[in-house]
Amino acid sequence: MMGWQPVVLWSDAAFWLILGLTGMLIWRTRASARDAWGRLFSMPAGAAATVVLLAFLAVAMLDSMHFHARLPGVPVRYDVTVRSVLDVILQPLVAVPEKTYSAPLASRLFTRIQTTDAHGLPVREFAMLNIVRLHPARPDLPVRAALRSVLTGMMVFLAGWWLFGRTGKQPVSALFAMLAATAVLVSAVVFCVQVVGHLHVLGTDKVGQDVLYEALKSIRTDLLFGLLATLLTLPLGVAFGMTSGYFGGWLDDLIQYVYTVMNSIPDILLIAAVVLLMQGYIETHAARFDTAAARADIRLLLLCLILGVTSWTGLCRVLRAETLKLRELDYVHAARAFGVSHARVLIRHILPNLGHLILITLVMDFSGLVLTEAVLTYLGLGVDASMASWGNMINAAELELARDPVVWWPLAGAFCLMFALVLSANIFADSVQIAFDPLGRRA
Amino acid sequence: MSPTLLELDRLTVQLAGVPVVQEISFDIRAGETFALLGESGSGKSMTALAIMGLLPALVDAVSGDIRLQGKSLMHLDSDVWRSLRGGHMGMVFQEPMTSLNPVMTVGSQIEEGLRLHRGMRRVQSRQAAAELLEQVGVPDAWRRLDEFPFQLSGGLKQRMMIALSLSGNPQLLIADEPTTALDVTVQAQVLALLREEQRRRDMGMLLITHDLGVAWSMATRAGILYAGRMVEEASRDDLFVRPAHPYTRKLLAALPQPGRQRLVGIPGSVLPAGQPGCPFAGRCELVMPRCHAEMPDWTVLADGHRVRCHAVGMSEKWQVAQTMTPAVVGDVLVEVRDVRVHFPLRKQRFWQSDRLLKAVDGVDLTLHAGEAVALVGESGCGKTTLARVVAGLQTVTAGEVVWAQPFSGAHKNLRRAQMVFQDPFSSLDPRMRIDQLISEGMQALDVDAQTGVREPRLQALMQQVGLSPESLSRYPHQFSGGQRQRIAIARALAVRPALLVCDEPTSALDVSVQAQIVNLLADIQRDAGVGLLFVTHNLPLAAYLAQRVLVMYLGRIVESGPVDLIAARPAHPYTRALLDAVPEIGKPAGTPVTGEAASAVDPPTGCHFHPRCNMAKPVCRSDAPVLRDPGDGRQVRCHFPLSFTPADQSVDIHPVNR
Repeated sequence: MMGWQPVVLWSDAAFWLILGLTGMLIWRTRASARDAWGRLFSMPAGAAATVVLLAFLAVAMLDSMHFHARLPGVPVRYDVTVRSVLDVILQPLVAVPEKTYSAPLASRLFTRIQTTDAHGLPVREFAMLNIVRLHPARPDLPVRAALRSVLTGMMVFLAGWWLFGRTGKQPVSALFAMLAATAVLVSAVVFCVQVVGHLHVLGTDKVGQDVLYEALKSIRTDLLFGLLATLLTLPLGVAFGMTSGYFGGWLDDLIQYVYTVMNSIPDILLIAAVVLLMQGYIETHAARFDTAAARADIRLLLLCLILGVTSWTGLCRVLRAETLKLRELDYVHAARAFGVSHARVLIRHILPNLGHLILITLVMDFSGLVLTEAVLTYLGLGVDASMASWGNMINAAELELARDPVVWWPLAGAFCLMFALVLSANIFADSVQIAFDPLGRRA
Repeated sequence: MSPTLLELDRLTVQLAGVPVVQEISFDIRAGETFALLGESGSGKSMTALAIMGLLPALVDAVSGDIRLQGKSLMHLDSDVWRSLRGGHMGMVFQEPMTSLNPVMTVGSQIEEGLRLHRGMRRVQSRQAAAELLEQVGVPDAWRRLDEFPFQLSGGLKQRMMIALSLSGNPQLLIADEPTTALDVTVQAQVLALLREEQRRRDMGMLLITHDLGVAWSMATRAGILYAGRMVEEASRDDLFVRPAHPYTRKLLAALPQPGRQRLVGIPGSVLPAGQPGCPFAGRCELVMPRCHAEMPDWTVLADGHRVRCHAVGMSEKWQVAQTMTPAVVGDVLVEVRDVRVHFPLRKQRFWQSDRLLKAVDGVDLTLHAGEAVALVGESGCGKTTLARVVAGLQTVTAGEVVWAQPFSGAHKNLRRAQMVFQDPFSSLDPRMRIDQLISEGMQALDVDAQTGVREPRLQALMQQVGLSPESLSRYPHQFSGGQRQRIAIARALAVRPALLVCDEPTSALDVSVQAQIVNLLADIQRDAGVGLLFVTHNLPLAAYLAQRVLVMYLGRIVESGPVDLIAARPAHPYTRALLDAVPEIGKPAGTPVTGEAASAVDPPTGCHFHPRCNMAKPVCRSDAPVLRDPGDGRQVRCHFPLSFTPADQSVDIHPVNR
């Protein structure tokens, strides 16, 4: 008998579908694109960004495998809360909740709370953290852990250098960048593994929850948000942009009219309206969304949908302009002289030559959407308050920053991870574009 | 002898570690024109930029010396440079469209220079700008001062540009391909203007060009650049009559000229600069082992004539003219009957009637199988539109295109004619391999597309156009311009067309490469029996390749007939003007025809050419002439066709035929 029952949320399905399709695309084109991938991994920035992105992707993947745990006893019953594989891995982080704020690696709370002293008398003091009381450790644990993790990182680096350096497949600079990124990631993990259970690496938030846990759980939300909304803009933007630019005439007028109208509606209003509609829908169909996770999940999906539907206009406009230029080029005329159909001209000649623009616009959109999530959630229009997201963390930080002394760590945690994701996505896109350009331009 | 104005002393410019200009030395005296001749990539523009102190930031080393009136121009402050540029040196750029600021009136751009370099006040500078415009032959100068560049024709813009560069009274004028973007008649006007201004102001001029004819008509002395090095320097007559370097000889032999059997192409293409030894060694027939090892030093042949070659005094075997298979002209292949192509233009006021651009306005044309027909005219005359009609790429407003034999297959119209485009860089999809590019048409039209048939056919095609079969798996950017044009020709031939429509197939290429492509087209026509419809503005090229020539002006054919007849004795004044305007070696510069072609939106009444015709009579203004045969087998659209031969004072100095 299984100890768990799998749950597939809608967003899980969407996420795995995207991953599957991308994987298939890479697999299908593996022969023709081998050189291009080689070029990608020979660029220092590209190789390092790939490593960082893969780490983010791994966390999101672990967090997208959901299940109900089996409760002990007979008959077989399952827990109503939906948990993910990541939750299981991060269990030590949340095993011991605190009362309220505590700074990173602190042993006492950040604020005085009412408690009793050894004689049972009420006092207000910076109480010792629960985790430190339950699992005491040597006071020099953080230093020792830091030393060990740096050593491990260096060993990983040297091992990688010894293993891959001799093959000579990569230029030295690219190998160095890639191994350095890996070593930094590995030492961060090693540090956390040693400290977790004795201290809170990134401190705790207002209700005493571990900030590192929240920041890690946010990865899936924001990655998914960016990916889904971006991929929804893709077919709309590409199809409308290409047809509008290539065929011109009344079709062009119509599409331009539509996107001008779309652009003139303030996005926030549209999103606010949809969020209200959505809440009404979820409440009237409570039976369909039986768990809190399912409700938060459907809200996330609908947000992606509405953002996807409203933000294709930028891509469309860029592609229309480029197609207008491309359709007058002689190779398009040459193809038409051979009687190649419009559909084939669009697919074989126009689309591949728009590739770089699509990629760049998509990644810029992705970065923008991750940031939009933060803004929308801050305004209360974004993802569900129960769902971990960087937007929710930043939302809470508004009050924390107004305190004296300042509570800076939740914001810092969210900021660092968001920064790493957006930056590495941008670098990755630049590198992919250069690597896949048949002209081999390096600018 | 006038004093030396500009001296270049072993100028070397390195771009990203590669010397693009290597040890170039020459000097220019006041009142003298020095022509710097070279193909693309030979470093001629970089030399000009170095003289103007405008080298791009990528340049990492400049050595040698440039002296203007004895003062070195190396290591100058930017203030000094600013007063030199425009003040002591003026520059005319190639592209008049982009060298004038589109949001400033022409007047304000010229006045800016006058105020800056001559210290004029506003009122003075306006007066001076108008005078300057009158000097450079701009009619209605005061009104033109307040116009924007887009309101001017290409020729007027280049005149404005010349006025702008003269505004600081420079002693040295640098003209970088000043007429390459212009039509041949306008080119003749601009060259005449430059000659006149130079004489009047006693300026020194550095003319940078790839066109041997332009160099002949302008220069007093000339230098030949090859891969960043000067290989020969001489007075004009010495250079063109007694060329000493094998490269110079081949360049001259690559020009299409009447009576020449087959053009001498130079195999291979220019190697990147910076190799040891003579840069031309790889393409030279007189090559010796030491050519690869050491760069030859200067040999002085006569006063002012020097050459860098180990093989001075030796001559090549290729002077024996190769003969060509005569063309076999078959039955009628296609008839174009009274075709009109009108493009509607946007109305400016809604009560106006629709305005039409009559690109092609009633053209009849018959093409025979295996025949080469040239379509000649200035830009905007409708020749490209007509070619596209024949190729099936342009729908007609009226008239019809009738093919003689019915072809089979689903896309039967498309198999009859295929097109070769002007710019080999935009006609090949950069994201497709060569085999994909060539087989695209074969698949779309189902010609030899079966597996097992396609591969050998692709290889045969590559062989036919002179490329190696290994090229099939490469991408377009790995080829030079000439090789790309060969690929474009292979792509067109892949579907076995009966007619090849070529739209200026060589105008984007260098002279030596142009000869290879022209020879290839001639072979295809003569050996494979494919008809050619050849659109060009280059009459000598048309005369060389074609059996028949059609001259178009503002959407109509003004003269057509056998090539020998038209090239030797043009009957239409326009054809004659075109022929006269071509700068050819050995031909003295004449008086160019005035004006530029009117817009096809609003053509002149009567004969379209009458405003530019110096023989126009009142009837030309009122009645449009019809095409008629003056009795020698050609068709002329003129009330008073010329019956005499044009004054032929050309000096016969074709070095190769000597």
